[in-house]
Amino acid sequence: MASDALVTRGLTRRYGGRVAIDSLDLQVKEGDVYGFLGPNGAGKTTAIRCMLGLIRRDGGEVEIFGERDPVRQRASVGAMVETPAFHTWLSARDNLRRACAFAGVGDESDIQQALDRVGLQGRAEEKVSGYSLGMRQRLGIARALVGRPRLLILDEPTNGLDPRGMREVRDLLLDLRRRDGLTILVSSHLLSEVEQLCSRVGILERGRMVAEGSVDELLDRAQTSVVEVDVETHDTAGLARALASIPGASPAGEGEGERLRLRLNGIGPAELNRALVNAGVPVEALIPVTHSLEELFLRLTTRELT
Amino acid sequence: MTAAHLLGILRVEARTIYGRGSARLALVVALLTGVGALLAHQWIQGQAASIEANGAPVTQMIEFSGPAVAGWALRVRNFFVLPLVLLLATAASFAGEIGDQSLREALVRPVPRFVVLFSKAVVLGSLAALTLLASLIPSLGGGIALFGNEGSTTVPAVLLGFAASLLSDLGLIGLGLLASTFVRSVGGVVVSLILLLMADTGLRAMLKGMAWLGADWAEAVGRALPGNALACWEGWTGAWDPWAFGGMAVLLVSSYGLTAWRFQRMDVP
Repeated sequence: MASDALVTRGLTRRYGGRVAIDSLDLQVKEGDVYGFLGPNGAGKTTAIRCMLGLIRRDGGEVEIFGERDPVRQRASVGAMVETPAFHTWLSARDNLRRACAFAGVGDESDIQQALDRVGLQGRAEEKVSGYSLGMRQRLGIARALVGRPRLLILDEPTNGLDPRGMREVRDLLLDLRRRDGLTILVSSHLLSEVEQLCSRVGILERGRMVAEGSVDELLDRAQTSVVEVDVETHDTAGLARALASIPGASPAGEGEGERLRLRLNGIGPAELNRALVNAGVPVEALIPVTHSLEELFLRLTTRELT
Repeated sequence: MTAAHLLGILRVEARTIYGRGSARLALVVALLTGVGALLAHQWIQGQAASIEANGAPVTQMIEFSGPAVAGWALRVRNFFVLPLVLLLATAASFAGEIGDQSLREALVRPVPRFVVLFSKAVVLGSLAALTLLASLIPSLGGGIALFGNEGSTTVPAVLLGFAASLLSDLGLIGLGLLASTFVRSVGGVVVSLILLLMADTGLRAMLKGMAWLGADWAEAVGRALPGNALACWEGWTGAWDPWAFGGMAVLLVSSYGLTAWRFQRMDVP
């Protein structure tokens, strides 16, 4: 069984009377690619800053690979928080040398390897002031990689990248996990990407964890809590009349042509089909709706907001 | 934390701070004061030998010797521009890095915050020392070569003046670092410290006036102000002020101590 790479217990941060992080319990297992999700202002970046010791915490504790000392635990972490900032009058290589020196480990070969990984090997001697936003983002990831980390914490790593760049970063992270065995915590707004990339996900809302688990677990949860089906019939008027007499089935939208989405509570798709046929509705197709992580995310976070 | 780790940090911090325009400007200005003082003395000696004042040649009113040229270079170096540029370099390396968030990179690494602060203070101190050498070497060396070493100004006295100037610079850097934990912008640090030192100068002048009118306590209070400590180098001409050095000790301990204390507790964006 994989051991814990990162654990927070009761992590709390307040700004005046406002609670930005509210007793956050989070668990990232070694080898995980953990997606840290939440709408803007949910507290993802604040939580990451607390984990890295950039800002004070008002309560709780952070443990990284079993280490509780805030300085020593950072020896196994490479991080990129929000938009990466650099000493722009230095070259990309010199910026990585700085990171290496502060990490206390690594050498020129580590720097070269990190540059190769993000595809900046040909531009390493250029000053960062001439770099585009996308190149800076890649360099930020390269900087997180130097110092031989076991855990990568990346806050919105695809910010500013074009679709091709986003895909390259996604492939890079998967490669880092597969080839180097790195554990990765990645915060993102791009839910479909998180769905493809992450093995486990935590959804943060107003500083609180509202859902945590593997992507499959969360999707199962989405499927079992409420079931939706699309019903196709040329007798939409008959369908609407029949629904009034079928308890547990109600329209979930306006409908499109001969298709209507129904929400089911306490009734399964088979029972619905039987009831519709008994009511004389010619059902041409009955298609269970598959929920994406995005729909779950929106449902969880919208519920919190309303 | 090993010695090799610390040395590595000092090396990259030096590369970063010396790579800034403000550090290069400080070195150029310092070199110009040294070379400028030498050339000015040479020009005065050559051009003004025939000019008389009160029946005596002007050149007799000016001392021409290596230590005297270095003394002039020191006065010019410490007059406003170079302390301002040093302050700018200090603010850029700390408040500037907090403001543009580049300091974050150092803080997410396994390094205690006081080590990050220490490395900046050491490199900025080395910059101050290098600017002093950049003034001293051409002025003293060139001055001795051109004018000799004879005169009322001695080499040890002027060297003590340069050494005391390093203390002043360290005090100024300490104030700049401390201000950076409050203001977090380069311009804000520079402007707030200029205003503080102007207020200090005004207050000391007022206290001096009160002392002249008979308030004995006023002189003692004036000597305890930070501006008097920062002017400790002025005693190199023969009248060292122990109050200024006592004040400098307090200024150094309190500014660096308070900076470390505040930095340890502050949120870094």
